[in-house]
Amino acid sequence: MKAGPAIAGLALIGAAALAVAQAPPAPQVLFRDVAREAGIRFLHQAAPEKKYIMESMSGGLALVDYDGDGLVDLYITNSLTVDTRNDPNAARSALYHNLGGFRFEDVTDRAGVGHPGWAMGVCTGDADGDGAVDIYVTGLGRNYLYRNNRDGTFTDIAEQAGVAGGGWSMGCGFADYDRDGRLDLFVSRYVSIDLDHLPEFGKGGAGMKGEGRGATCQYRGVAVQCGPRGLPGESDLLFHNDGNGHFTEVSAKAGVRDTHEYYGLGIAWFDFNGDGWPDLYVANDSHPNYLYENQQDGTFKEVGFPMGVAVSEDGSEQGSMGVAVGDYLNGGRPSLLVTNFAEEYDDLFRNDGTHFTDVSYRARVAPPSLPLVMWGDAFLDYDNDGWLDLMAVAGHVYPQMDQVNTGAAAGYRQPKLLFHNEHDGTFAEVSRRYGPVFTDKRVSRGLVVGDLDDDGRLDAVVTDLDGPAQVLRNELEPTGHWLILRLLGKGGNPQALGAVATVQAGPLRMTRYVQSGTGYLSQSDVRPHFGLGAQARAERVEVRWPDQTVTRLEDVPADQVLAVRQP
Amino acid sequence: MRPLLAALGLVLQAASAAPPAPADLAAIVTRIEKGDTAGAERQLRRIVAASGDPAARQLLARLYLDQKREAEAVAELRQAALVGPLPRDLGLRLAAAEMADGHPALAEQQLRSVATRYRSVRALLQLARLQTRQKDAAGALATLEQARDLAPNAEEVLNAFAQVSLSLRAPVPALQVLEPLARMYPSVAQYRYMLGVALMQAGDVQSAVSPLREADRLEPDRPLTLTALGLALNNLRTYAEAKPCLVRSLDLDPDAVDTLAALAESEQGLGELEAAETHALRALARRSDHAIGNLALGMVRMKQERYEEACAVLERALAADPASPTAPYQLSLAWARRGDEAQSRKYLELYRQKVRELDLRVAEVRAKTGLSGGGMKR
Repeated sequence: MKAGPAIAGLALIGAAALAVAQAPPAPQVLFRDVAREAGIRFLHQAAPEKKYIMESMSGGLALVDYDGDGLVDLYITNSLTVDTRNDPNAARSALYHNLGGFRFEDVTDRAGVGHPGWAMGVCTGDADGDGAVDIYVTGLGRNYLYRNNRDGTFTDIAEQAGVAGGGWSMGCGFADYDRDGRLDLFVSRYVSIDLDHLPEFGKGGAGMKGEGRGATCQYRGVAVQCGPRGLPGESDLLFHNDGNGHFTEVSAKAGVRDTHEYYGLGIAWFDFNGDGWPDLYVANDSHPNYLYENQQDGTFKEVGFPMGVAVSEDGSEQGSMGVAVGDYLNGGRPSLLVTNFAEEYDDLFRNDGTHFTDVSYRARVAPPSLPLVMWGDAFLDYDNDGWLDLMAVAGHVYPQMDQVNTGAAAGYRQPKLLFHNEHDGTFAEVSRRYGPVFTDKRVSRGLVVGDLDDDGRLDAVVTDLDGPAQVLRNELEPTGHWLILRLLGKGGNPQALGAVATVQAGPLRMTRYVQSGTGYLSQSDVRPHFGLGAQARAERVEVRWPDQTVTRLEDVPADQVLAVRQP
Repeated sequence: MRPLLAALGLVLQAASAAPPAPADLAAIVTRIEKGDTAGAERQLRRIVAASGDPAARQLLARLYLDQKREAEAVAELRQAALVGPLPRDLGLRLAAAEMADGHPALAEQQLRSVATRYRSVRALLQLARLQTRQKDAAGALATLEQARDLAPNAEEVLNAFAQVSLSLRAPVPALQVLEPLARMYPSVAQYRYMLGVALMQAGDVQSAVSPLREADRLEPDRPLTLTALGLALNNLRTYAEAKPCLVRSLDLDPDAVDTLAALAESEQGLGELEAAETHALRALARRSDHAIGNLALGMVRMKQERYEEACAVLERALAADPASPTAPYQLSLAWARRGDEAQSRKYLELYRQKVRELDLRVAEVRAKTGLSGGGMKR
């Protein structure tokens, strides 16, 4: 008997049913890229071949409420390229004013912050003590301090203020390291580059040193941009705020000059030992990282090695990029996540009180990061369960990667990583669960997180060297309760940079740190965000201000942005 | 045709090149060909007794060899060699006999003679093997260089050259021959394996993984390959991938100390401290100075916050592998956590020195091989 159509149909249906049964579950929605509908159409200036190292390193961005309206605005850096270097207007950085409801307005031209040349990174703080938040932009050649004129415009006062720097600046962050009530400024610097004598693509030559002069201009036999290895580095800068609108560069006196001239990138001010004085971490590319312990007398002691945060567990110097700080164990201590180059793992340094321990593998953060070149990173509680999760973005530096037999390394465009905190000191890599926003491959650099629409769910913004910036709206449902603190610092520190906020809500005791300069050359929303899970109230809220005075609140309802003013 | 007869032509050629023989060896050969070996032997003995003629001795030796009378043949060859050079095949035969009798110097002399006189690749290969057995790997490598000059594409020569290079931890010359060997003989697992090992020795562990995986595919369940692959993956810190290779290797060869130690390294990397400790201790029970075993146990002790014990074990790791920066780095951490800043600084300095030395070595290998890992990493 021949099988009739019905029987054949049954077979097909059976196969279809099997296929349905085996199909992976549809991705959940966590983030949706709403950049276009939000009015953010930012495209980074791109040199297609990235023949020079400066063309691969830009991409810092900042979330900052520059006009004090309570909504978080957005500034994104853009950078010139070698081909466009003679046209200062060729690269346009951008300031977007948050209109609420996830709508933004490009106010760059009116604000006058659009053309800081070879812009790389950005951080914010009240540099001149007038109570308004200023914007500091690092870059190649010089840096810009955009003073907030409190009328929606800014004026570059870097030269007058003495913070223009020079050379090639990358990471930056404000902190009152000597607790004199004025915000100081640290700037990491990278490579010494002479634009008139650039190392030749794939060959090296001018400006190169050591290591065969051109040895680092090849990657597995393919010509690539030179550096950083083989190029001279640059020391770092610490600008002390003199209080008269001027800063003095004191890095040598303070002991943070970086006499080795390592290749500095991401930085983080944070009080790692809980003594109330801001300490400083500097991620260095291809060299040991620094941890400067504040000696409480205007100087620092470099303790990266004895504290266990200078290199990887096996002693390898890594190509470190971004730095994130967070109390992911809810133990009251800030730990560190440092992103690194491909074939190196991202370091999760757990703060054990007297020292840090590299728990990258035990916490299951390391393996997914090995094939990727990772940059911006952040601790964030994306599902409001009261535990800090992790997010990091990636993209290689060599477009030529795709011509190379890369072994285990990923190609030029790379996916993002998202890790869910499993509440036991480990993380689960959940990127695929949330679909193409994470799995799509891009050339990402900066990452910032913050609540752009004050709905209690943390959103994210990501820059891309070869594509549009992504504005990732958090649409996860359901999520837990939440609380955001809008800290209103006094005097010359309106953002309360350096404050530490702690919330007790049921079994959860969470600590957040208010920082300028986070991730990779960027700055996230400074407002502490707490997921409260099932807790509809916080029994206790405590804010330790930068001057170590403390504000305590009790029985605070959840699901609100709570303004707390420093007494 | 019997082997002896096949060789007779060569004997006569050699004889004709030598001083004139007192007897007509050709007639004796004819007798042999007709089956009168006993008569031929008697005649040859008489000639040898009378004149010691080397050609007659050689022919007599061949006759003995054909009759499996090895000792008598060797005795004749030794006498013949005293007078003049032996033909290629007999020279090689005598060299083999000298080796078997424990006279390596005589064997070497014979092999050198054959190699020089006949530009013999086989003699050079045997000489290299002899030198390797005598732990003269550098001499072996030089000998094999000569063989490569004579037979640049001969598989046996390239294979031997690669093996000796690897035993000398000289990855650059090894890579020069293994890459073409692996291309020419894509189905030979051994060449992939050696290529992987050479790349690891050259410091390009990333590139080593692919040929090692291919070797494992071509010849599955070979413990050496599995262990090498596990070591490479450990080096790349992909411990979860390394572990199954090492577990399988250990199933096949449960007492392999290198595999036990490497498995301990994977496990400590994965945070499986109990298992890591067990395997490290088993490795160290077999070889207390095992570098990886001690390092793995030291890392376990660090994670257990047993810093005093960690210091002792890491010291042994450092002694076993003085070139590695990892042990001094961990020692600097251990002493810092014990509160001894001076000791911590001492090991930190040592660590830095090892890093500098490693950088130099890597740069040197890269300059020679053209291998490049890119600008941002070592």
